[in-house]
Amino acid sequence: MALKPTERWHAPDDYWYDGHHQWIADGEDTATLRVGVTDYTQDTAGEILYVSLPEPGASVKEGEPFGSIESGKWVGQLYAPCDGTVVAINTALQAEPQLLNQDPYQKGWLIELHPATPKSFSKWLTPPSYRALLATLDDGYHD
Amino acid sequence: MGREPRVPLYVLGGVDWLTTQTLYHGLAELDEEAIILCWPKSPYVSLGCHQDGAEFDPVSGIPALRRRVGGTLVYLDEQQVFFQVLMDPSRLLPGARPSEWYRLALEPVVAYLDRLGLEARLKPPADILIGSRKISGNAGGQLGDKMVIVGNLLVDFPRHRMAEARYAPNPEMRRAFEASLNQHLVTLHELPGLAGMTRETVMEGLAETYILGLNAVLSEPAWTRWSPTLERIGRELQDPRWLRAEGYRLPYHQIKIRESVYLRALRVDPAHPWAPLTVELHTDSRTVTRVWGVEELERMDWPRSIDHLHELPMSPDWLEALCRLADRPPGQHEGLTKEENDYGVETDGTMARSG
Repeated sequence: MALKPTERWHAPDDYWYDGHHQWIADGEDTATLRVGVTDYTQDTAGEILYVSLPEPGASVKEGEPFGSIESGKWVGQLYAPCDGTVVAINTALQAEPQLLNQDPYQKGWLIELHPATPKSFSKWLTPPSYRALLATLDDGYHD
Repeated sequence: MGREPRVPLYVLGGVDWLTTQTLYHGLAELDEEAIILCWPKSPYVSLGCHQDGAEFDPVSGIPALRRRVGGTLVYLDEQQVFFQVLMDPSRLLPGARPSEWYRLALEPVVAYLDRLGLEARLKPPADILIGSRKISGNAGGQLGDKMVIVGNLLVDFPRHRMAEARYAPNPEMRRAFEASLNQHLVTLHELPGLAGMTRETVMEGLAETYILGLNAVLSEPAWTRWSPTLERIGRELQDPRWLRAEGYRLPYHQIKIRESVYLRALRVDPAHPWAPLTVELHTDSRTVTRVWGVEELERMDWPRSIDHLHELPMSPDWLEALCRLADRPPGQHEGLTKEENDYGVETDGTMARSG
């Protein structure tokens, strides 16, 4: 029997989501945003072997790739959720890229951004909206 | 797939070397599905997206670029027929893994080889083998909103040119590379009854199996519309900052020969006694299969199990070197842990890149 969509791919509260299956949350600093990939991304990528991230200080542009991940000769892109400047990257991923698979919402975070405009989460999907998106994606798995 | 739009099939034959790479990058950016069959009019080298730029040897004089899909350095020339498949994610169920995309895109290639009477099989994630020898190497990724799988079928292959293009820390590793390629690769021309096979015939055969297998429809290329995008991408893929960027670096020099077969040499000072030692490892069978560069070790019988290296009659110094290359602490029954990945080791990491 197929799993219900919200069980197949976890999408916790307290995060916002974009159409690239990435999450956005408050960063360490109140002015910053933390970005990571969702359970859907890590699940569909398979075992992640390598992560390429920008250097702190790099500028990113909304909707454009800021990094990439590789699993089994397969490269997936990471997209900036807004214009801004990278203020920190998760250096733990250097030694343990598998953190993206094991704990995508906490230890597997990717970057922190200082947005170019005052931060607002309204442009991104709420948890219920993202779960609804996952439900549409999961339709093919239901009888 | 019958109700979905048919995938345009572009049967191009020989094109400029750079276009063989910019075309699939460009069509992905233009959000177009496509199956492209072609070959380059002249040789070049293509590095993997995350590969260390230092692994290309510019002394070889071969033009080079870095693609945006996975895998490692490949030497490409006019005796390889390329297939490049760009599909909308809706072609498979949501949540499909890369292995499923590889299977979808590569089944027509396996079907074509079957038609030739060859027993071809896909070795996950992305090699096609005849017996135990690789005849087709492939890589993939998501570019824009398209799932992209690219690869080639070897009609003929100059192993020595490939060995020249790949950086080797010493002549022993380069010699080992060519020898290992000779053992683990095969071309159509080397198979019984296929010595006269032309790339044109191969391309026509692949076109037929892609039309049948992926519901492709023969289409005319839109060069005028595509050109500005392809020209810009061509500059980007050759940009020295992108091409020579640092990438993933293991504690040893490693060359992937085919899925599960790797060459390794230690990263030590060239004057160190360990420097010339190169080993070939099979991660599936967990064996060291061959050794180069050290006469004492070359004379021994190989293959040997990684788990029993400590039983070999050799000095502790050489044992330590071999164990380091096999990712195995001396005296412990442990070894390689990731058998089906591109790097074959457990110490993968992150590359910080500014560009």
